Amino acid sequence: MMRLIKLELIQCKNQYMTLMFIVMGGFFLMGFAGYHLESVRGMNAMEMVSTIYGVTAFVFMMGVTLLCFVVLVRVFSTFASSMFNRNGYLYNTLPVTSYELVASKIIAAFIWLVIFGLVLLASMVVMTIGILLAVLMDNMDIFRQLITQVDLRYVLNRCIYFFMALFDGNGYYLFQSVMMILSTISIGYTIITLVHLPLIQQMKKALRYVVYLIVIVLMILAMEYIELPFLDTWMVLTIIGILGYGLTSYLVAHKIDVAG
Amino acid sequence: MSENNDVMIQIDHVTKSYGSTKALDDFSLQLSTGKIIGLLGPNGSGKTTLMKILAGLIHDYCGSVTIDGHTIDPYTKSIVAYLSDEPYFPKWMKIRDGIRLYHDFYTDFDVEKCMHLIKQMELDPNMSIKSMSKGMNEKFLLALCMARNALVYILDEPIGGVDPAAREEIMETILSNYNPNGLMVISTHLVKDIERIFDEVVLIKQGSVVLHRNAEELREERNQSIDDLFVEVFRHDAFN
Repeated sequence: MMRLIKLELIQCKNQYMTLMFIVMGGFFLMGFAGYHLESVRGMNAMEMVSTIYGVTAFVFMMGVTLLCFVVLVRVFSTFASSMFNRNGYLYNTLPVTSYELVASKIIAAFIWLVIFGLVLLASMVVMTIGILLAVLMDNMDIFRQLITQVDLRYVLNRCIYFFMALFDGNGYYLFQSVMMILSTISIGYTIITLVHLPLIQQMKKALRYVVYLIVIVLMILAMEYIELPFLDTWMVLTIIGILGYGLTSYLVAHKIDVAG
Repeated sequence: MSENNDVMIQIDHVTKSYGSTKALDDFSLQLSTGKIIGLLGPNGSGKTTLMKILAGLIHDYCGSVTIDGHTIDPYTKSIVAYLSDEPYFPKWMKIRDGIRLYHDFYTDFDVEKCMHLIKQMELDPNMSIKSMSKGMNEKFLLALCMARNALVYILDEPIGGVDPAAREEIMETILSNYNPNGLMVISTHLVKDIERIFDEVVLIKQGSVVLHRNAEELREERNQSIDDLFVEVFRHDAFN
């Protein structure tokens, strides 16, 4: 299992590392360029910081949403290409069970998502460094003001606060978050696998996309409307995720043909 | 051809369809260990489908397939060395990554032997997959495959994508590196270049076995080469 996870992590390393550098660089430039806005330069240090953070917080949230989308799409497309297309020859001929294979892909995707989460938190610090550098290069007086008035620890504390909030409730929220992320990945893999069944692959392309949409809608409806007594939404999601994992592994071992 | 008790591959009544087209039609075959089998047939006769079933890449079929007494599972994958007719390693990999991967997953993989073969084929371990030609890719996959001390080798068109000079090199690599106690199944339609190494030949036509015989006996009995026999059997199919 560890060998498979290692293989999975290495597989996406270059693409994801590049994406992370782009994200970090983007936030650095955001901070750096933010200072150079005409409306910002006339402000005093405190106004400047609050304005820049106000604007960038909005952009930050947009960036997070976009990045989550990009990473999830990448995770799912990597799964499809490495399991069902030509690269699937390599993975499907390895002497491992389909349960190990699918589990390793879920765990590796989870690890990448967590790393991306940490990168986003770190990017807040990077953005601050961008602002400070811009000020340092432009006006030493304001830089001194900023250094004395703005507590860098505050920024770091905000990052740590987001992170530590997960550990509230004796790790309950952390466990809940972990299970929800794992289940989301697992359900995504199940949808992709269902659409790669030979029966559906033999359909015309347009019809395949229709089936794809139907399966996705059915999954969403299942998550939305299945209400079980004594179970929270995240628990229902987890149960569907576990069932999805079992179904994906079964289909990979018994029903799927790897395309040439 | 079932006089040998050391049956390694047992295929019973396998039917595999792609839509309305039957790639394998009630296909049955028994192959024994310690032999080199030529799986011969024209394009579209079902050779690749059969090999993909044996390698564990196709699961949706009727009938039963066992290798060393096991249905296709991680055990059979651990004893089968499969060479596809097309490159399939991810483009981000380098040759040395592929060697490391095989070393991690296959207990019968011999790293030194693989490095020797890579060197012999004039490939550089630091070469990336994306920079390799189709011929180089085939040599790389062949080196990985033949560096395994497998019980079953399944080679799908091993000389299909290379020039005649390289074919001889590939043949030499196969013959001098395979496990003689194992079973080797080689599919090809370039019969003339490879027929000398076959112990047995299996002729496939439209997804069914039309002939399964000892190669030497067949040559003596018919007084013709396997290549000539191939042409005779499949001549009419070429235009059908």
